[in-house]
Amino acid sequence: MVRLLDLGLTKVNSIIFDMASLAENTVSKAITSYMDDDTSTKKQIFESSAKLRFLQDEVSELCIELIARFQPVATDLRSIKSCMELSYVFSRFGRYAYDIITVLEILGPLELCDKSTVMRMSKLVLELMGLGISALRLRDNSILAKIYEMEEMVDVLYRKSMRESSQIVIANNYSDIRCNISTALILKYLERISDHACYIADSVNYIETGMASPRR
Amino acid sequence: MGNLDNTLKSSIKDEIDDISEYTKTKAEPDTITTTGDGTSHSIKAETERSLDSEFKIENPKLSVQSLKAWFSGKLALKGINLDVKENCVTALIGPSGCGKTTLLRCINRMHDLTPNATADGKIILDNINIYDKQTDPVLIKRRMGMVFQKPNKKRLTVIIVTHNMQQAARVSDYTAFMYLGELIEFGPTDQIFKYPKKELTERYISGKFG
Repeated sequence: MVRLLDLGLTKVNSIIFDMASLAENTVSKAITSYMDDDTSTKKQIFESSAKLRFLQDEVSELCIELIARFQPVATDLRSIKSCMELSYVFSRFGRYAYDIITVLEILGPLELCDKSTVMRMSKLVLELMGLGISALRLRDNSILAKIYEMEEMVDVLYRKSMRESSQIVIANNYSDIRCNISTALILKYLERISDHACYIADSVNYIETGMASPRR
Repeated sequence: MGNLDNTLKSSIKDEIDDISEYTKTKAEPDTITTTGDGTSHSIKAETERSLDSEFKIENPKLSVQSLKAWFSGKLALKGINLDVKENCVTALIGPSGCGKTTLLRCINRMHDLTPNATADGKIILDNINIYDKQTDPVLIKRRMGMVFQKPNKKRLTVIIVTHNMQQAARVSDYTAFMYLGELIEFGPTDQIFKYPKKELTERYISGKFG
């Protein structure tokens, strides 16, 4: 039996998956731009970020309408609640991508900086995002443990990199300061992205089991 | 770890082993939290609540035990066990013919009045089995009236039968879902409507059948 609610849920889910693809591409583009020292993508990244923010509002409106009109319960209700949270997560991905390219614009060019720490962490974070989105698409909570494990790795890398970074600041060396500041900022954005990727995993778990996860 | 480069993966794991104290201190706040009023509770316990455990009412006002009911030899209630909490509203929900009204009629002994209708099992109201042969049905009905119809508003124990999910969700404290003469699921209303344990309950309250 097809319910009117199902039509609405299909539409919301479709927007969520569009947001997931856009967010993943936007973060990936921002990281590549940082690596290539290329600020020409800034406008495109800003537009993607703005679109994600717009879609977040659209998802919220649709979800409120579905609750008001159909009084969903059980999995339907949990899905709607999760869609609202997921839309926020993807909107944040867009924002962090924009923040990364802004760092490059303000502090760049950074072509002489050692970017290995950021690139190493970004590899992990991009895979983490991909896993989260894949778990969402497949409604597969069997890979959640792997996601949480990777997020711990990102946290450890972040703390370690920040400690190391603070020890190699050379006084009065303008270039190194720019490198250190940009590295620290981007590492922080990546660390936040990995936290948000875990929220995707939390949402998958919540939809499937009704179990809420502790906030990070 | 999927497509992640193996060298990167192992080097990160080595680093984690080297600085395991960071992960250790990080893990601690995730399991215990303190609420604003100073009381502590375990998030783990909250999030790992068992969805399989049977829900129990302590000191029920009314307890239906292994109740079976027949109409002309046809089994309508197939061994119902249900506890009703005092001063609370309990909603009986389920599709037509599932036995909600029969159960209610058994509880106030109206089932006896139907020709060829029989019942077996116990219904304990304030420690008295209302189906005990020595119990006067008239007195029981009067007591039920006291409980169900002319209550002191501060001591209201109500059982409602409804097909309206929104009504059940709105007014009741506990919900019992019945299907084909069986009690499928019983629990606090918010739990039944947000996290039903049984697939059948989920499908019924979501409007997928019924």
